[in-house]
Amino acid sequence: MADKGISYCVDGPVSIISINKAKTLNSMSGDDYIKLAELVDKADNEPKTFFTLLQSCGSFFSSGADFVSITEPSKSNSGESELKKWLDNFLSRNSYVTSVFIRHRKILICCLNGPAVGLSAALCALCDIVYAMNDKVYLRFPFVELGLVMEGGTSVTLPLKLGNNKTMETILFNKNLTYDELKGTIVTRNYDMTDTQEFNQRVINDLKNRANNVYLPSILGIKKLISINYKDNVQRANSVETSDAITSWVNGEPQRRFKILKTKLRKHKV
Amino acid sequence: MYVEMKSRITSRSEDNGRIFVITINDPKKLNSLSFQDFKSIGQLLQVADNDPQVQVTVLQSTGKFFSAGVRFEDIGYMRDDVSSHPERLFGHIAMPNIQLVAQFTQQRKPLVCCLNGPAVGMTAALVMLCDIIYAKNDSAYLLFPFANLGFVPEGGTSVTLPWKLGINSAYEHLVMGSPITVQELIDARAVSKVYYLVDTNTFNDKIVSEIAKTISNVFPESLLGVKGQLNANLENNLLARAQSLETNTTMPFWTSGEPFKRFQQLQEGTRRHKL
Repeated sequence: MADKGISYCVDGPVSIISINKAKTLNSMSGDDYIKLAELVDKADNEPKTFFTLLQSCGSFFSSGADFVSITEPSKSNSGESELKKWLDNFLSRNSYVTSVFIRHRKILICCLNGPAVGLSAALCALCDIVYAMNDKVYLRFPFVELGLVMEGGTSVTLPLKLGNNKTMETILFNKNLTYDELKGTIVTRNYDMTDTQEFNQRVINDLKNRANNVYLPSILGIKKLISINYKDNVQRANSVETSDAITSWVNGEPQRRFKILKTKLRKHKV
Repeated sequence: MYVEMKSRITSRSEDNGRIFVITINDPKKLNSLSFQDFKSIGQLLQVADNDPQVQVTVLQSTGKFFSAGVRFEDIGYMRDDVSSHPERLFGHIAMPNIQLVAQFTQQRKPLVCCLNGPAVGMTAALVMLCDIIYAKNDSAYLLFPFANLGFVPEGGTSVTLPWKLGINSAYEHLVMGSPITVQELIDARAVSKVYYLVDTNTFNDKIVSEIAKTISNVFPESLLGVKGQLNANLENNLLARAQSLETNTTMPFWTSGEPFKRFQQLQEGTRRHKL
């Protein structure tokens, strides 16, 4: 099946945003992240939507940033300063995408069919509810290996949802957050399934069933009352995170390290 | 005919006045409460707080349920009162959400909840406002059917549930209307201990005697000092703000009439909480 990119549809009270790039383990280019944010905003403005579902395909939720695309601007020789280049190609995008997730007014649900990495994992941590397809899922934040710092509001969302010490060890020592560590904090339900399409459909069905019993406007009230307690702090963090990282990009550190990682992975495949 | 109105909410002193016990006493009606009962609980909390002898306040119930929530008749009285006097709606909403929540959060004495069984709605919100919760056994659960009933989180739950259970768990249970089990409460460290007892009186008495033993050699002022310091935190500021936010957010829902309609369906059996 051809990769369809990122698509959007509405099914009753649910807006469904689907990542369909199985060939690259659902890695995301800069444009993909922007498209994702646009669709999340579209769901925010959809009057009949009360739940926004993020779904993926295949064995990974998202392997994170597509190395080639993210480091692409390095090659340009337009004469503009490195600072301006990376403000345009990193800071503005990361800041905007994160901000869209933070201010979303519907219930954001992530159908975690498999691992999520980097900014994709951060966006998962920004979701209100995360369902795991099975216990093989994990979140990975390789910031320290890539010369980056916290992204996607994780400097607030991870301590908030996991606790301080767990966050410190996970990020500083570049560890995966396994299902056991996500259970009860970020992941509230394990569907214990193996087929991603079936898992995705099951979550949609469960939500539609639930919608029959619930007064849907109450759902928006729940989101409004709970999110007001932390979203300002996440917005603040978003601003600090992106401006702290810019120096690294200007100095070329993440670009160098993405390249090394890409070579490592190529060798691994061989 | 003379009808004696026995109060559902009683209080007594234990341990030479050091422990003040507030008890919900209507097990045949699953300890469901009237709005006056909620007021009584708040008033008794203030009595405990103002009594210099009292060192610990304990909230207990009877029989199988902690409380099935607010009595349907009272929602009915409220509906009738509001239909002839619409301006009274705000007072009805503000009493539990502002006055009662404040009476809980302003308690200076440690507040212990003996969770003998399920608690629903506002009564479950009060359980979440207590400092320490013990469970009789794992038959207990907390249920917050706000979304089923057409309104929004009340009783401080927009703060206490994310705070004491975690944000994602709070969303899951409020959005899906699913019960929060004792195991989840233990995993989240909201419930400190499960006693695996069957009889509620035995459980209640055991807690009181354990507390009496524990406080027998503590310095009373230290209890107040410690609780005061622990409470000077972000979450209690958020709780103060939530009193206004929840009240103002829930008002239009009640004004629309949807909650009255849904409570009526619950009473008639045409709507059920799915457990």
